[in-house]
Amino acid sequence: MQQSKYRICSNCVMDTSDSRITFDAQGVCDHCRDYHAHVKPNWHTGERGHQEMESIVAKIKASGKQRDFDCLLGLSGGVDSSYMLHLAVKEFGLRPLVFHVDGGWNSELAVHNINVMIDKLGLDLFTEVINWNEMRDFQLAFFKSGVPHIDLPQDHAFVATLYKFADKYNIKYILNGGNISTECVRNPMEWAYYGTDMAQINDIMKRFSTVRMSTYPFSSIFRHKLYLRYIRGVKVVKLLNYRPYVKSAALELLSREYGWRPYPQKHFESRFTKFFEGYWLPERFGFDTRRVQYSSLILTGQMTRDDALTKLQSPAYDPNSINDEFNYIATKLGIQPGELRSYFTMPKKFYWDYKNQERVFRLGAYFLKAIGAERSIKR
Amino acid sequence: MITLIDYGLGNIQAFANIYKRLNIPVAVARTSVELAAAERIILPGVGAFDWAMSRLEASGMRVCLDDLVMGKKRPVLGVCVGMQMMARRSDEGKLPGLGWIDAEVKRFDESGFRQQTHLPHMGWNDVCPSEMGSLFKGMLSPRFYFLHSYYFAPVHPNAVLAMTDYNGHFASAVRLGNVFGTQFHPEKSHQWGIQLLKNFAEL
Repeated sequence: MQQSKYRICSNCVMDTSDSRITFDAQGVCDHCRDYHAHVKPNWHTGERGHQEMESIVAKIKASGKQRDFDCLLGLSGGVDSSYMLHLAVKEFGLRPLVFHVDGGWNSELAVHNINVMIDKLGLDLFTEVINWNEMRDFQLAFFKSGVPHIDLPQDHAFVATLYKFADKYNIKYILNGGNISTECVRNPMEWAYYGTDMAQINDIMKRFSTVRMSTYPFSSIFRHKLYLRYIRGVKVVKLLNYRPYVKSAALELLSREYGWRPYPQKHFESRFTKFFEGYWLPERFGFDTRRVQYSSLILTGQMTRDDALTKLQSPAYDPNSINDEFNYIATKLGIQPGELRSYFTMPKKFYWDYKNQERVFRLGAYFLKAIGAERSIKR
Repeated sequence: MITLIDYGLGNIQAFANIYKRLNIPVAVARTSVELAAAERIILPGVGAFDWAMSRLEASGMRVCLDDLVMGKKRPVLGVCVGMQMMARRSDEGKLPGLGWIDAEVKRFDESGFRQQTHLPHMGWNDVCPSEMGSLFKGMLSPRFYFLHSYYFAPVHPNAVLAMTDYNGHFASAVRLGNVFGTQFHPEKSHQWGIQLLKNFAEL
């Protein structure tokens, strides 16, 4: 699968660091082609989107009559979930149960942003604190496995907690901040494998974990995609896709109305993710998630390709403080910096080096695309 | 506004009561989001070093607290084990400390003790401030209540804010920029403690 010659897309900034990338005769990559062929034609933010949204909002409200909440929203403190909370409450008059999963890596900036949103909107926040000893061991197991997707423990806890709340409070609608505007290009599978593949999780945990996971929230794809969605009728609504969502305008509104403060980069609300996406992934694997983020913004007209290329010239981490940051992450995980360094230099492994259910996931993804439930495909 | 960190250790209520009597607004943070708006922070603590560190980690507040103290330079007061946690390490445990001050926590050397001295160091003792501003403003020969067997040993002597003699002198209060710590318990030290907590709120 390794491509020997370096190439970069002539339209966006995805390149051969995504080993499965393909280019057409004009040098345009498959991410761009997929966007123009399947995503954009089905993305309606005008009158049609407005009508679709009105009807969904009416259904959400009806489902929550005489109840404390009509929908569920997970707030990370990032721009997507914060802006969606604003829309849901202020624009649509929804009454979400707002929860936050604390995996032990919340930065001051993240908690500030969560706090101002909750405070100004007069809402209650349900905080789920993950058992630190289990989180730490789970994260270490992924470091030891040598794979790129060591952010999986955090992601998984979030998804599992989400469905736990939906189940517990019998809420039928989940508001999801996922959006085409800033995320139409997806992380390639080899960079960020499915976070809910229990076969993979179990295999890696069996080999590398040292602690019994007795309280960690787990949820398999079968439970939340099949049982909860089709048997219990839980629906996921991506509110941000029904009207124009311009990141810079959202940032401006959030800071003006709420005193929200922006992050230097997407996903930097967690100190762990900041280290992982800013340093670990690009330096150990050559995977720079900014390529995916910037390419999405290029495709949706929010950034120029030249601008993205200039930004990609400098690293996503601060070279002056990376040593301290490295030591901080090691110490917080309860290991010596030298041990963390050894995971950095060990042979690279990928999801296919461990047990996985990739075929099942692919089948499901193609099925969802075939019925039109999912437009862009993770590959 | 004073924010008390409640991670399951220390007598939060004692601090809260004092501030309520002083008419100084006080909040209790149990989660990282509740810690967000903290302007001045008190990190209490009793018990063993490792237990305190692991409880703080388990609360989810550790990273936000590090950001507030080291990044935003918000004033923080560590009390007893809360102060010891600010060091790099402790003789009492295996886990690393917060490392806000270049220091280690050592056990008193009992072999050199006179007969009437023993561990733990418990009860009232004199505290000699090296400067009369900040925490000790307006206090003449203050006395505070102690209960500990380990002491805070900063590498740089300029971090020492007050000394106490317990068969030899040790740092009973420290300061490095916005980071303050007291080995004694101001919340159990009557008028001296009330004055110190008031001073911290007015820094």
